[in-house]
Amino acid sequence: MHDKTDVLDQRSADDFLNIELARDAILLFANSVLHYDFDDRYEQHFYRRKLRPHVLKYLDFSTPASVDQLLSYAVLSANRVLGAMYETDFLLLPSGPAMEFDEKEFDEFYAPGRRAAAACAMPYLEKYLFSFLGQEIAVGGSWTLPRVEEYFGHILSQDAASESLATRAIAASKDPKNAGQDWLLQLAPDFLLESSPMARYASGSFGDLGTSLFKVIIDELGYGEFDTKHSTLFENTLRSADLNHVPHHYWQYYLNSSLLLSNYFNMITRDKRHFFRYVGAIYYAETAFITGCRQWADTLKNSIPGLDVRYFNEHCHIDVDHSRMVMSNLVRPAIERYGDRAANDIVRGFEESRWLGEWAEKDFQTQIAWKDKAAHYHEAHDRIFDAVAAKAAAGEVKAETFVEPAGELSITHCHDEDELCHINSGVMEFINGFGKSTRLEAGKGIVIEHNRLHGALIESDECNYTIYTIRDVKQWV
Amino acid sequence: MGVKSLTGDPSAGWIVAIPATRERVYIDVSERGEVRVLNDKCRHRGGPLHLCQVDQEGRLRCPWHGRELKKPRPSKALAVVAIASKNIVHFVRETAESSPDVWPVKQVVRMQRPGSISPKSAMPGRQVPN
Repeated sequence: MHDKTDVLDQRSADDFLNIELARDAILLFANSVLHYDFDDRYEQHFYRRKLRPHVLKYLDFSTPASVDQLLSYAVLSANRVLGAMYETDFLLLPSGPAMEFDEKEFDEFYAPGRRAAAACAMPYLEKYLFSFLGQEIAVGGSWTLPRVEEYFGHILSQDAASESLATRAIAASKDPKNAGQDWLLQLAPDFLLESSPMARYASGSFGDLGTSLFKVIIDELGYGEFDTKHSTLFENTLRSADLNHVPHHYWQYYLNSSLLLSNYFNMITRDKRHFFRYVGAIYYAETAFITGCRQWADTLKNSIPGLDVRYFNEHCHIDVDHSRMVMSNLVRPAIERYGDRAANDIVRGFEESRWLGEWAEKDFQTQIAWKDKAAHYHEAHDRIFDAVAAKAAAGEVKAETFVEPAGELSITHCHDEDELCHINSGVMEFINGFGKSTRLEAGKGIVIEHNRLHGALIESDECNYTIYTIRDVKQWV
Repeated sequence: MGVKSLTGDPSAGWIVAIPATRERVYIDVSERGEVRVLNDKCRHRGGPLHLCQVDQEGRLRCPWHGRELKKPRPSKALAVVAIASKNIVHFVRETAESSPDVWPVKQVVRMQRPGSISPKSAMPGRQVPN
């Protein structure tokens, strides 16, 4: 008798979650004009997202990142690749008069081979980036609807009384306008494509839960009015802050944590097993936004005169309704209908969304402090350079010298340890982060704090510089 | 109050006593984020199961009468959220509608797992009377 379960007759792959296959898929996806290094300080091409693809082959994503690795370069790189892959799910067309439609890059962005590679690599990158959440946030015991409501009410009332770390960082910065602009662009990966991840749940068949979620989506999309679409409101906010409103114009300046948060919402909407996590996550987001947007708006108005805050005001208003709607029409019926699985996942999603939001604000606060200390680190170079160079000459400190031509841009990145940049000849514009640079001439340099996003642009015809891995600057000062 | 938030190592053990229902619940969280919420009372006479010791054969035994704890019983008395890097554990119950619901929480030594103890500290196997 013929065994009708005898299906497999593999020719190339036994498992599409295979690590080697996923690695190949990442490299293939990134091997594109859309992702190669290019000397633009900001993205000038609508479909391009710089991934530093030549470095990817040296990175290992096979062991999930732990909490203390979340700000590492490998995680930044994985976040950038995953973010670029997710966006091939969405239709992106340049819509403004100043933006040209590049047909060739449009076809490349959505090329079937790249989409297939992305499908293969995404579960692997998601595992690498988000497995830590399982260890970091433990949810267990017996969750019932009254307990979920009790817990959410308790946490949300606590959070509503606490001050946003982002607003604290902006207010305390030496350059509040730049810090405010930087925060706006950290929000951009999510807000300029707002509701796109959510709309992944606009399709399917899941009863009145789908209809209830769609009511929220309608508001996000401006209930049929383009001018009131949330992403349109945010574009106006960016314009009023002297910022470009085109999605991912500031791709290079997204912090690791901003990308992680944005990718999280993509992950829990792309993989339908996470629907209940999404319900919890969106309940937290809709509710926390009521007070969060008020704090952001108040601080940003002070730091950026003339800022259009209608985006934030809209959320202070409509999220009162959205919070209630999500609780009444999604959280409650989901738990009543799908029991423990739904309740546990909803609590998990709520806590994950909260954790990642706090993480993003903390990372932003550290980045602003790093930018504010630019002069300090510039001077620190002078104090420690002789000692570092002596140790390097003795082979005790790793040193690598680069010679780059005028206009060469080191795409923004970060290091896992403190580094010392020293200019041997020529001039470099060291980019401390968005909108903040330090001019480095021959004999000068700067300490680069570990995990901090930075880049470099060569100003002179040629620049010869050395990067010393000093591991921890405190041991030299 | 329906939520109690305590600071402490989530991977330690916790005991929650619930006088209103005469329950005692043991909770711990593994390093992999798995939560155990167990009835802490031995089926036999209510002995404190979190104090179970492992005998020379690697079996868990109740400290009161030495009965073997074959399968810990899950408890539905409460729900738990623990955040590892913040060292915080939230214990959640419904708010009592009538009288105040008192339920003290305390940190205890983590409950042993079968076969998890070194032979040196293992208690000898005991004959359990019928």
